Amino acid sequence: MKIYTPDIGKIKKTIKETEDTKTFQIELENKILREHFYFNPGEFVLITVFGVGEAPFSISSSPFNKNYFEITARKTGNVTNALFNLKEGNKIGVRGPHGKGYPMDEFEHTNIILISGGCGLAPLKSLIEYVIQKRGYYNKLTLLYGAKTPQNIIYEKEISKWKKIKNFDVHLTVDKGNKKWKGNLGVVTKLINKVKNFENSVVCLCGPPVMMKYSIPELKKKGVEDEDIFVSLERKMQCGLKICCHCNINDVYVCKDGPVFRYLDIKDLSELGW
Amino acid sequence: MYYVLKKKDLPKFVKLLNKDFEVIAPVKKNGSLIFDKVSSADEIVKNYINTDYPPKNLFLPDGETIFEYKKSNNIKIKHPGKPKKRVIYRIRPCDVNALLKLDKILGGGFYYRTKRENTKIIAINCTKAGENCFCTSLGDDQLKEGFDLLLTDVGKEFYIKIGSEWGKKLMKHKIFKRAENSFKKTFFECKRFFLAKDLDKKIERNFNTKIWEKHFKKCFSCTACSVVCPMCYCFDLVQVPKSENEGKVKKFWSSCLLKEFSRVAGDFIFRDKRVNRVRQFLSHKFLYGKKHYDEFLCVGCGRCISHCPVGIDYEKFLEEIK
Repeated sequence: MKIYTPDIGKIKKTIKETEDTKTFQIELENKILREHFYFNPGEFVLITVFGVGEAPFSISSSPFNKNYFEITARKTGNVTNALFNLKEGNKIGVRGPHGKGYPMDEFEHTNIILISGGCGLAPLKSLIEYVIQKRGYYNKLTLLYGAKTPQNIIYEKEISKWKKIKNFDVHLTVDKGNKKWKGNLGVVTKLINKVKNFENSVVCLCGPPVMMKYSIPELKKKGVEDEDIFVSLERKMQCGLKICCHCNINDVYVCKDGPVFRYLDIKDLSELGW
Repeated sequence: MYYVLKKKDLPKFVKLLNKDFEVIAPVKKNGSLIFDKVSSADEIVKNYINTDYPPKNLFLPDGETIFEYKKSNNIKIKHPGKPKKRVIYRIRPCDVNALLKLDKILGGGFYYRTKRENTKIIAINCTKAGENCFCTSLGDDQLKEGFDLLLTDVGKEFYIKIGSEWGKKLMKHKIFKRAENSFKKTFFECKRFFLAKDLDKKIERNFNTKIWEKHFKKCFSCTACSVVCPMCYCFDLVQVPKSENEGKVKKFWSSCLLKEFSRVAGDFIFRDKRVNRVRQFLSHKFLYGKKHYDEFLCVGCGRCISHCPVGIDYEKFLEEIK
């Protein structure tokens, strides 16, 4: 197998989320691959900008959508800078989907609490859309989302839709507000107190390490068990196949064993860093 | 099944191989003993313990092209063709064992596999150990498989063990004779020794101790040990543009000893301390390798010790760790 050769995808649409963040709708050229693009929320793809490089991105769209998938990228490095310059109709390389996502089957008939910060909402958006499409299988859905400022909030359109959905609580907070902002102020960890019931619940966290570090003790205080906490980790994934060795944390490979991990399985890893 | 080849018939043997294959053997180049193409037997260096560099560049070339791309309205991707048929002559058992271990990790990839499939292995047993050799500790001095022919130098002649159909066929040539019913075997001994049993557990036990600081404070991440290691295979995929609309994607050797190796967007580096990177280097070989592939990713060739500019001795560390 030519495991490092990407498939070709076309940028169908770009959506500006914030000043430095965009969502890209990507359609695979090959019809068979397009129709068999199966993944679980939380999995990732490796996107090649030809002539620049390849980088991993969480898939942010629903797995039920067979025509295209979405990624959300923030301008932070070579690949994302180049990606921002691409226009609708431009071609890119796609490898994947890779990795292990959220165990959606296990989540059936439980309450799902999502905690995320900044761009960490991307993989959770995939999960949210999945749950909305299979609504009867899941109990209450709660989203706690924090951004730096109101301008940094991504998926604004989707969030206002989610707020109207029954049995779906959405709580937003920003570190620094503005004149228009009437919502919560402060870090996302503070929102944990808004959740009244942690029984029969799983909690999924995706955001910067510092968010994980401070959220988990709060969740423990509420009685959430380590096995019911799921975290999404970031490392320098390159081959996506557990070969190139760029992304291991002790003996765990983020690209294949994760990026979504049960907290119980990784909490004792000394190289975790938080 | 053993055959005998008189040493004076070696040029004929190399000529025979050269008929159908590119012959690759130890040669002296720019002051180093390396594996390279030869056209006759007299180019081959015969008196050596081991080559300075392992033959890994033959299977995992540094800067190997993975594919070429051309952009227009569409993107066209072209893959390089299959490699030539070649034979490696005079490769040592440790380096063959390294290939057998790499097969478990990289065998699924097209580029590595086709190079392996197109390369015959004529190995030669050691009769003497080098001062940094420690293959006997890991059991990688012996070859049970992985060769087409295995030579043993017994003075005026070679005993040749057959390891494949191709090797068996080759022995039909008149320069080879069937061996006697019994013959002497040569043995050699490495001066260095440690017990390989439970090495993985020892590393795990010491993971968060000061032992790494004690042994590897001197390391300045030059990656020489990684470069000469027959088993270090970690890599980077790099885009090499030729012009705005065309270019190549190449695979370059990389090393976990480099700071860059774990850097992600936002300039966050997960193994900032040099000692932690040496710990990753050794843990990958002796702890994760054992867990994931049931192998120590080391064959005891000792090149890491020979090439370290500050005298770090990994083998001494393996002797001392408890």
